[in-house]
Amino acid sequence: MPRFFSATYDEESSDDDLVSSDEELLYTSEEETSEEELLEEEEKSQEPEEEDEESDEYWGETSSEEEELSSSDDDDFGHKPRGRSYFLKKSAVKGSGVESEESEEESEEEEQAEGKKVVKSAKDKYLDEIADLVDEIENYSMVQDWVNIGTRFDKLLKLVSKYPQHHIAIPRQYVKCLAILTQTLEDYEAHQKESKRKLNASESKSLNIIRQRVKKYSKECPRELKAYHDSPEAFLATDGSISLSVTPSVAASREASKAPATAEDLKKVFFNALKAILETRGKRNVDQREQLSTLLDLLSSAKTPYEQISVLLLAIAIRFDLHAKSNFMPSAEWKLALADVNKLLDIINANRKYVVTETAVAPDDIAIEPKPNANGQVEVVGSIASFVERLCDEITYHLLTLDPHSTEYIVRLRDESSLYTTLLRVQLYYERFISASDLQKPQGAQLVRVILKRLESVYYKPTKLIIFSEMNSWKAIDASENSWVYPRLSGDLGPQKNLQYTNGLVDSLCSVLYKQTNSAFRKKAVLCHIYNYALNDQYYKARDMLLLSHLQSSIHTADPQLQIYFNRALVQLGLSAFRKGLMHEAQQLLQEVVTSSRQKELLGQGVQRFQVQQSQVDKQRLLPFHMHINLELLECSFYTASLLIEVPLMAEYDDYAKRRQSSPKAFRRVLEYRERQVFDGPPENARDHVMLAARSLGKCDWKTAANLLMKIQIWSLFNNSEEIKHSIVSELKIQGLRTFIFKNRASFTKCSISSLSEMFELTESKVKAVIAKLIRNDDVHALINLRSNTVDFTQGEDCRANKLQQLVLNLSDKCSQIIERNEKLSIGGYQIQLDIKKFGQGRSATVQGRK
Amino acid sequence: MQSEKKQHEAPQPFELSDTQLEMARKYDLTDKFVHFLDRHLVYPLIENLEFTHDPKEVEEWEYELLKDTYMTKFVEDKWLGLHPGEELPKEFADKQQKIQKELVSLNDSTKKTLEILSSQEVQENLKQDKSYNREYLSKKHGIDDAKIYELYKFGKFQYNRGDYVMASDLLNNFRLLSTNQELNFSATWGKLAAEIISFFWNEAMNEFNKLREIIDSRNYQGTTIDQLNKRTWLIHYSLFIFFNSNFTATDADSSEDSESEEKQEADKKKTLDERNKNLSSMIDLFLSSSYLSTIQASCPWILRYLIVALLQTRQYKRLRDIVRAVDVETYEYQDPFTKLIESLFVTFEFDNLSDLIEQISVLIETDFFISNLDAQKLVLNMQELIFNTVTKVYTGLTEENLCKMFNEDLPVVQKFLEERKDQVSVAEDGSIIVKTQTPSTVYQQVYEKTKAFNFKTNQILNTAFNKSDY
Repeated sequence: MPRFFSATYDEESSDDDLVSSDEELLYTSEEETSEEELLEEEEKSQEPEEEDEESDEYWGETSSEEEELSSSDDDDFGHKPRGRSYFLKKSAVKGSGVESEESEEESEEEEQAEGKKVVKSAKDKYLDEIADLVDEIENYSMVQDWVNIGTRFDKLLKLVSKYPQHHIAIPRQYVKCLAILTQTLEDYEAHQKESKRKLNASESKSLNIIRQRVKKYSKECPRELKAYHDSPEAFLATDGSISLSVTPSVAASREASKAPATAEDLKKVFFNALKAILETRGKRNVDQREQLSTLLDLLSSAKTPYEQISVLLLAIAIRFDLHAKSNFMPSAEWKLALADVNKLLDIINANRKYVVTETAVAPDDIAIEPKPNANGQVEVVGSIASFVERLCDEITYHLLTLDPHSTEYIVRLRDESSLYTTLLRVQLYYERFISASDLQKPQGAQLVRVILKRLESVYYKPTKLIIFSEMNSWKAIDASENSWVYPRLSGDLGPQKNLQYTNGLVDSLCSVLYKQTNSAFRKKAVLCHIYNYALNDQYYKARDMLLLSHLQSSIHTADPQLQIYFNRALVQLGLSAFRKGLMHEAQQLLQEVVTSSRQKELLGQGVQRFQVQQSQVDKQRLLPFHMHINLELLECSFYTASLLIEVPLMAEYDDYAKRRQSSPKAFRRVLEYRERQVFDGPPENARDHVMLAARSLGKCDWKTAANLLMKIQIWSLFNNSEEIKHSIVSELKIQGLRTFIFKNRASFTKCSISSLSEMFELTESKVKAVIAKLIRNDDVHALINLRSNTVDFTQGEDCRANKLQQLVLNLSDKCSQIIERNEKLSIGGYQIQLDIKKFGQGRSATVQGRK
Repeated sequence: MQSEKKQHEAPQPFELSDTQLEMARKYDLTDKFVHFLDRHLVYPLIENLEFTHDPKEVEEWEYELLKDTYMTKFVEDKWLGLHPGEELPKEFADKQQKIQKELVSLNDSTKKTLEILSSQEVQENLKQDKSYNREYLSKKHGIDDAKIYELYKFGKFQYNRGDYVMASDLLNNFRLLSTNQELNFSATWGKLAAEIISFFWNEAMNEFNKLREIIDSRNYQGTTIDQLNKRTWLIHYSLFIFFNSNFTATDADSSEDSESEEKQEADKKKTLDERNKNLSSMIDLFLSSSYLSTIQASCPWILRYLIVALLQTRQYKRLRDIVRAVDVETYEYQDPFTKLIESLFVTFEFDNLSDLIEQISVLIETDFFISNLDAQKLVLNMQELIFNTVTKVYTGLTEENLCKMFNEDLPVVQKFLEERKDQVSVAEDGSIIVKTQTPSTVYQQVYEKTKAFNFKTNQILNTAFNKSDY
């Protein structure tokens, strides 16, 4: 799911964001690696002999194609199955802040295999490229060829923006280039008046661009520039030096770690071991379990909070790595990961100086603790938000593989509550340094992601359950902590207040998400919001919200996952309308999903049987069983609502089948199907019951219909099932009465109201009201006689036209329509185009003729 | 100005039972209106509450309402009324002093400007073009933007002090000169309120239309929500205009001069027509899609006034729209008026009509806006509406049935029937028979439908050919 966001995030942000946002870089780099991996694996299996060449070529191209690659990645998100390793890598990168340098190892291997071929690492290549560009720019700047400098400088900036991927400091060559350009610009300006050489348009344009850019980018690295100015040679010499230049083997590092020495040595050994693991992350043929146990050893020897944090960040990431290839993370492992996250939170909470955030600057050397920033906080690169997101996803994957009716499923589901506590803790942790005004910044995005996860684990639950988990979670959290998003729950408040609390909770979680510029957050939030309101029987509020969101018009273009959210909200709204007794609304809302042959797919509750191949993406859309909406209940509600609407209509119009084109055919089709059955067995499922009830209501026998409907077991799934049953019955009576009137209007002249009231067990005034409505709407030609307390039907033969007369009436109606249209046309200025000459003759002829 | 307000009230004495009082309080809309009206406009509404609430309480509200305004004299009176036998606190004097000082300073600073503006020469030189005017004034007379802004400030101050005529004058002058859109907009609001309070309905109508134009214009500056709020405000303001315009300031004068009865009668008829015209334009406005959705979204209680206006003007062709709106909003807002519409046209349950009518008659007396209308006529129209609806569905109605439905005595009903002698007759058994048109025969129908065809077709042909003759 985080992947979904990253993709949409990329999609929505405009191109110029691409350079500036660090976060994005993390994402893009991430996608590439996973892509690369896949590609390589494929190649390996298919054509092993060509491997070297292929991969080499591939690497050669990356730098120039990177831009393209990442963008195309975004575009076909959702179509290309990509495997779960994606998540792992992301969290891994975020956790350690270190890019896995696969290529390096590869090139080493190649070197061994071929001997002669000189292969550079990706980083070296990258630096060389920059150096080349800088050389060119330097040359051009001697002659002040602004156009050429402009194009080169563009390329350079594009390249340089990727330096964090290679985990190096700002390339020194680039700094040098900036310095040179600044110098050149100054020179140019100083001599401009003397030289008097006019620049042509394109030249002056690129000059301006360069000037602005140089100014902008110089501001970003004033320190480096100063260092360069102080001593250019010394500065350039260290270009590309990165923290991981030494590559001690894992075994060596372990040995080293076992041999204690002085404190300083110990620290050095400690971080060397850490680096070693960092280095080998994501490579093949590495025993991750061994790494993990090394890390755990290290953790026990870690002294300072910074060391502990660094080790834990890496350890959690590796835990996720372990199960990247399997379908789900075993429960035991998951719990360990959760415990680690909690431990991490404990450490951070105990040492408030340290802040783990995605937006921190990647350090040159992890062994050196970063300097505290202006607020006295030490920022460490890492993303706890991604960890909890990952934990949420993993538990979902596991639940999906389990049989929902087994005890195992329930046991696993219990872990959700501890996860919820952790979610809350993480939210509180982020709230500490992210204020309400920061929510739109990249830093705030972490908090927003956590809040979305919290919303997602809350919105589908009934109030009781939410209160329960809220209470448990708050209990586990230190009493002094509180949230500015939504305050702590003090205790069980009684049903009314509880509902208020949960409403408030969902409201405030959503309102944070509504403020996001990324519309994916907003849409998801509003759909969860609607779902929750509908679930709590606040139909009108939910409906208004759905209408105001204007999502209906655009939802068909949204990605499948959002469509599932939409369908779920829609269906829940329909059920809510049904519970309120608003049958027309319920029918309309439920119709589309219920009558579809792909119900399960639409609601994300399963896939069609004939779909043999199930891609990863399809699987990701599925929801675990405890979030499902009962399909039978849906169907039952829909058909019952249809029954109450359609049966009187069938009685009203003889040509119902032809007439009601727009009405849902599903109900009629099912009904007809049953009528055709030779052998009509007793009702078995809910639908059978409804259909039989429809048939008896058609015969105006509302009592049998009511009995049949009451027999349906599934109503008990509604909270207030008795009330709902009651309202169904009273509605049945009314519709039975209407059906009766429609059926018999042709044969009766008078009908006693008291007997009607007896027959349908309605009060006389209700009977009158129902009939009055029919009369008023001209459905029935009758009058209610108060004196004799009867309904008098006016049967006049004369006012009923026979077939021919009806046709004539229709014809005259159509004619008058045509005339009206013609009138409109002539008013609108349309004229008959005639040859005026000819027309004039003709006209004068007729005039003459008339004379 | 205070006397003006009092005069405007013209309280009619009537007694209400406890249950009726409770009813009137329950359906009182003042607390809803408070959010959408200016302080000064709320005052008459609160004053109107005297009929249904404890006078003491009302006085307190009035004090609370106005204590932040600059109408010190008035506020003092109120305070003394609330705390009989106590000395005025010192703050009052301080405040008055402060206000006096501000008044003097503003008066001084604007005096010259106003003098210049009213001088013959300047009047002649001013043109339609605002930027030209400004240039002219600043060059010749030294009236710059700051001076003009002072006019606005002074206008606001005068309004706050309760000198509405002056305020409206100042704001008008300001508007003529200023090019600041935003200030102009709020000056217009101020002027509208001032005109309403001083009963210059025609001017108020002009201001109202100006505001409407700005708010409804396609390129409205603010956000959608802002537009919605402004519209809600405008709807509430407009009720004063639409419901009160029978009572003009000149009207009040003329009643003092004892003129001939006939003329007064004619005047009355004229104002009645005028008001009906106003109300029907209100119906048209409120039922236009953007205003109807505003009413539905933010102030469903306005439906009451829509229904009343409909009953008053008997524009039943718009009934269908109102019925729909009432039906849609049932879940959010209900009062006797909407219930009446609902039971007549949605649920068709006529049994509770008498209760509703009773409640409505209380509201007609107590509601600030509705009490301005002709109550008798309103009730009569309502009865007619009920009668027409009911007879369409029922036959064999007796006079007693009608009595119950109308919540009236027998003679009233008999008189009602008497007035409709040509449509209604009473049969021997006491049931009322309504003469209905028997549906015409098919031949008749076809004839009716087709008889105009020939003429129309010829007409179309003629226009078409004549045009092509050009």
